[in-house]
Amino acid sequence: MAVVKKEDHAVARLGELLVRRGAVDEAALSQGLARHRRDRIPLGEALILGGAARQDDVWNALATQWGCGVVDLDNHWVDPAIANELDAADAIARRVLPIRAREGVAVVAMANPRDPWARAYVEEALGMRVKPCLSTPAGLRRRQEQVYRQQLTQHSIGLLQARDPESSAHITLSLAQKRLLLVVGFLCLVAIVLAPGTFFLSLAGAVVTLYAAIVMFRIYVTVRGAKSVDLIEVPREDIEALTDLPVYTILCPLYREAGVLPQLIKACADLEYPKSKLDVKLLLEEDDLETLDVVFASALPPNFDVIVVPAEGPRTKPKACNYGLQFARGEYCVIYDAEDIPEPDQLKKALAVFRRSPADIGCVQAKLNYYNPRQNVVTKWFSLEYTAWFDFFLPGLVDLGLPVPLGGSSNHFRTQLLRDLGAWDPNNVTEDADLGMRLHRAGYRTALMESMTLEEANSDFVNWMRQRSRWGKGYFISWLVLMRHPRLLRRTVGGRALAAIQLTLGGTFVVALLNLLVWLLTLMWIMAQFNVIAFLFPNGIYYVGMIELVFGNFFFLYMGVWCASHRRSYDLTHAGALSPVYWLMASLAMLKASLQLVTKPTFWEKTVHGLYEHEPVGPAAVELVGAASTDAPGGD
Amino acid sequence: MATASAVFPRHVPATRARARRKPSLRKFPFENFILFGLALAFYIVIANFLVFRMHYMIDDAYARTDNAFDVLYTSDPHLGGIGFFWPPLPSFLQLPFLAFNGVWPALVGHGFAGSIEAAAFSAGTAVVINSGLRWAGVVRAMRWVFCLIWVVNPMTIIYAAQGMSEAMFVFFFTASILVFLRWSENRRTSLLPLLGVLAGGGCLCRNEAFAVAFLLGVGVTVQTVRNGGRWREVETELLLYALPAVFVTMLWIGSMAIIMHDPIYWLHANGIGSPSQAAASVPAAGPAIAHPIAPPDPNAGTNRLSAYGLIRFDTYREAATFILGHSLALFPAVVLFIGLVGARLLIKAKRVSGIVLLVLGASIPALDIFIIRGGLAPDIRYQIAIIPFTFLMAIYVLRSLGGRRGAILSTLTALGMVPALAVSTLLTAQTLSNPALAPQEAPLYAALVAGKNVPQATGQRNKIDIGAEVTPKILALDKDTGRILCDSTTCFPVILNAPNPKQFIVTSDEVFEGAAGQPQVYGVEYFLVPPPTGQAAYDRLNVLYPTLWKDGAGFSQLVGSVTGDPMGEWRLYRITGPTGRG
Repeated sequence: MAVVKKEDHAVARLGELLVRRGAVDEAALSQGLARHRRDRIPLGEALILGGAARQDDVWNALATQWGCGVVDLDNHWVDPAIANELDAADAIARRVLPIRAREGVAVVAMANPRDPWARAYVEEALGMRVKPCLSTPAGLRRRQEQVYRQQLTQHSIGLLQARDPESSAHITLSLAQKRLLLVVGFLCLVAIVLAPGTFFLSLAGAVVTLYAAIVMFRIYVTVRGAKSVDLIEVPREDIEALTDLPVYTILCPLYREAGVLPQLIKACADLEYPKSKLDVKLLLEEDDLETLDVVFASALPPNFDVIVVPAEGPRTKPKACNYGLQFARGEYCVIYDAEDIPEPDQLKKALAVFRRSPADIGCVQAKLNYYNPRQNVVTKWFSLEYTAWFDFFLPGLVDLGLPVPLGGSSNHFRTQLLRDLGAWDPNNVTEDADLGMRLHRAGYRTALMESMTLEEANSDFVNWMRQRSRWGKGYFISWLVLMRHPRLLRRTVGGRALAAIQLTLGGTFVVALLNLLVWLLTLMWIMAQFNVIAFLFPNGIYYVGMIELVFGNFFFLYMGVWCASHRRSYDLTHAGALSPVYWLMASLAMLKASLQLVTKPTFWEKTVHGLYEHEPVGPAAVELVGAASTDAPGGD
Repeated sequence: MATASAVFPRHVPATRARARRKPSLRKFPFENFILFGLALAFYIVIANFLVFRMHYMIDDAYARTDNAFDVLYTSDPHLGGIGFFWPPLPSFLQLPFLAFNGVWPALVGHGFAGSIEAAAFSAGTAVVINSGLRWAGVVRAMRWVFCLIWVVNPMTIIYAAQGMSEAMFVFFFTASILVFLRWSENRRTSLLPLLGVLAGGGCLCRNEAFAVAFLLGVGVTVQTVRNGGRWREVETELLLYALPAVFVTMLWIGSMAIIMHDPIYWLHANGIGSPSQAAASVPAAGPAIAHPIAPPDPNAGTNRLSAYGLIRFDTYREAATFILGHSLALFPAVVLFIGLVGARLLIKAKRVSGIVLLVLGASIPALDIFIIRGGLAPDIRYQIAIIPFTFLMAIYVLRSLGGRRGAILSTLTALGMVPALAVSTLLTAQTLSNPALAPQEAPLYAALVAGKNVPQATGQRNKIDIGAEVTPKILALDKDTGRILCDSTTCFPVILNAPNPKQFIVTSDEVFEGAAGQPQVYGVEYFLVPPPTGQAAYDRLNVLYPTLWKDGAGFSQLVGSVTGDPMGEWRLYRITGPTGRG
């Protein structure tokens, strides 16, 4: 414990103490004071975040000021039993850690022993009198991470499952769904044996009807979204009028992405948000030694917090996010992927939207697009597709008040609401889409704002297949989860939303898969005109199918041109014309996804980033791109 | 030194920021619903009066209903039955109505499905005009005055009650040009697909729309280039506009190639410079024009009207005089508004859109001048676009005076325009009462004045009435209800009135050509054939067997004949032997 000098104690002013000890100079102190007043944060934090003082020096000075010592928790035994009597997330949020207890008195390490709320919380939770001792926030956090590891891990894996097991994808099919599948399968077999003609004719009719529904739905939603009336625009003057910025947490899951770390640091540094209010959490996996080495060797800004996620349970991004969420200090939080480059004022825009909007806005989603659209033809297609998704389809869903499958990044939440909802489903490989659905079920809406985040488009075919098959698998699993209780779902969200869920989640996957079969049949018909195909498509079915084929394909091809024009990326127009190749790729990915659905439903196939070797440019400078078909769930 | 204290973050009441949604252009004002509903109701009432009371129906409208009918109700229901004699959209959009034929047979029997369709499109045009005026900043009361003038224009009324292509074409023409004007101003990308769809829709209902679509494409190109766009941008914008129009046109042409084995069948069949019709038109010097509802004079050697009901001129000057005369007679205010647009072009910017507007308006008369040299029916309805064009020019001028910001100026100017439009509307009525200028419309006027229906007033019956009269007689000849083959371009009144249309094999059936050559193979027992005069000379059976009507062509036996003027004597022949065309 540090020795307290009498003369320091008598001064009791932090700035003077630090200057006297040589921890800061006068100029830095002046700057710190300015920041302290401007951002309304404690002077000590202002100095630390400004890089003017070390945390140890500040807390030593505070210890002097308060007449106590600083506990070095790294070398201090902590009784895990008493510590785990507190909820880990609460202890982290209040910056407290019970060290030991004896005779009704708990010794509690606190970052601020004078915080009456934190003290009251501990006393109530433990039912003991608290004897506080001072610890540096960093030291406290490190120790909390160790002591609460088990609790945090359990929480990140099992929170949703515990609160709402029917919404969790920890099992792919419920018992009732398995039974239904068996019954339907059996009935199909019986029908094939007894009346094969009628069966296959009905099947063809059903497929054509499904296509018709999805094509019409897509076109309708896209055209509605084209007007973009529900994209919320936040003018510059409104951003400048924001004076009371809350702490904002950024969750950045990284896995084998050491290469993009500098880009991530720069992107966060470029954000127009006071660093003192920015709580950046780098979520690293315990077994990702390469990234851990790079991160710990880097000089991270003071507001970056490295959290090592234990290698237990499902190895998914949502689990990492859930883990990191428990450390979040912000009133609001957002996820950015490691390679993301958000518009600098995005956080302020999201904040303005939250404040302006009614309380039922559960999430504010920014638009996503790519900074490397011209890298190769795959990135061109992908960019066009993303434009169709984020600039047309999602705005259309918002406009119609339908559930919105969230993009994988740049979705902003009120932190408490996110926690209340059980956060992300760690067993779902498209946790973003699933969360969008759960938000809707809980009565919240998603708003789309006019702000862009640029990501790296997948430029490698194999890598793209991995990512796309994961999306397809996740969408279908999300659909299966939602359809465990379809009647209840209808009562909760209404018939329109229920239909939209079928067409957005289940339909996207099924149709992409069926495309292969339909294209094959079309090819067979063109080449050999088999009688069986003519039988399957009598006039009624044939005409509907033909209209879908001709108009649907034209529309989605046309969307490529539309998106290129929308984003003023005129050099992508030609790629849009070749979109059918991309559709074939998507269908193959769905085939892969369908196999994985059976073999390893929760397996998270990692998308490799950092394949773009040039310096990416941010949303302000980049000439953005636009889209082809509209089956991109979005995000990574 | 400044003082400092360790104060931890605390909640400070927020200064609430404002965030606003993008200004919405989506809102479809409630007044448009009201306007559409009122206009539609008005037109339906008028259509009811004209079709059922006045028995006024232009035969081509009836034929369009027949095309749709062939898709659903003939022995071989298929989409190809929509027919390719005309652009297919007017018939295609009647299909949903015809599904209710069992509930209300007049939808087919009187072609009322077409009337409803036309009424809806005419009401839609009123909404488009209202939207344009709203965009131009004209106050609501004045907008409604404009719309009223539009709605009660006699030409609009007549073609809102007829299942022809006019109402639909006018809608697409007006809407596409208005969207172009808006796009020229705000360059919103989402307007270009809409523009393309509207231009494509126009191409699917009228041939003149191809010229309009082409010129709109030129307009898009010019605007993009003037805006600093490079080649890639021009290419993208042009594709964005043109693809819908090209797509639907290619679809139509492809269908014709597959079904009719002629990708430009409609050009050959319907007469834009087609050899058959050009041959059928007769050049002459005299100005007199016969009444097209009356049977064409087969010996019309002394005037411009052919036996086929077409007119042809020797020089472009004569053709131009004829077409422009029709246009001016139909809506004289067009001259005034061309002057206004010209004046605005001289005074103010936005010249490109103004020039494109004038060129678009001129394109239809120009095309007709070109076509009429080869042969064209002398119908004033071909110039109907001159009326909405005048309204569009009014919108352009009013918008250029200030739009929303200059509501007072634009409204006062609009007030000044009202007399010109109103007087022109009265002159439209006068023109339509003149049989020399409006041979298809004047009989209605004559009938109204005489207090009779059109057949009574003119002595000429339309094909609805004829079909209703002759069909039972023809079917009575077919005592064993054997299958009858006929060319539906001439025999459609019979098919539409037949209780069992599946008894007929018609032109759009895939087996028609085979059955016409080998009737026994396809179970055909009878051929129904009209006298080979006038248009009926091109009846497929008359073309295949030139002496069939006269003597049975050696392979059939006359069962009986039924006369239904002005269609002449229909003859039903029983097939008795091989046709020799196997």
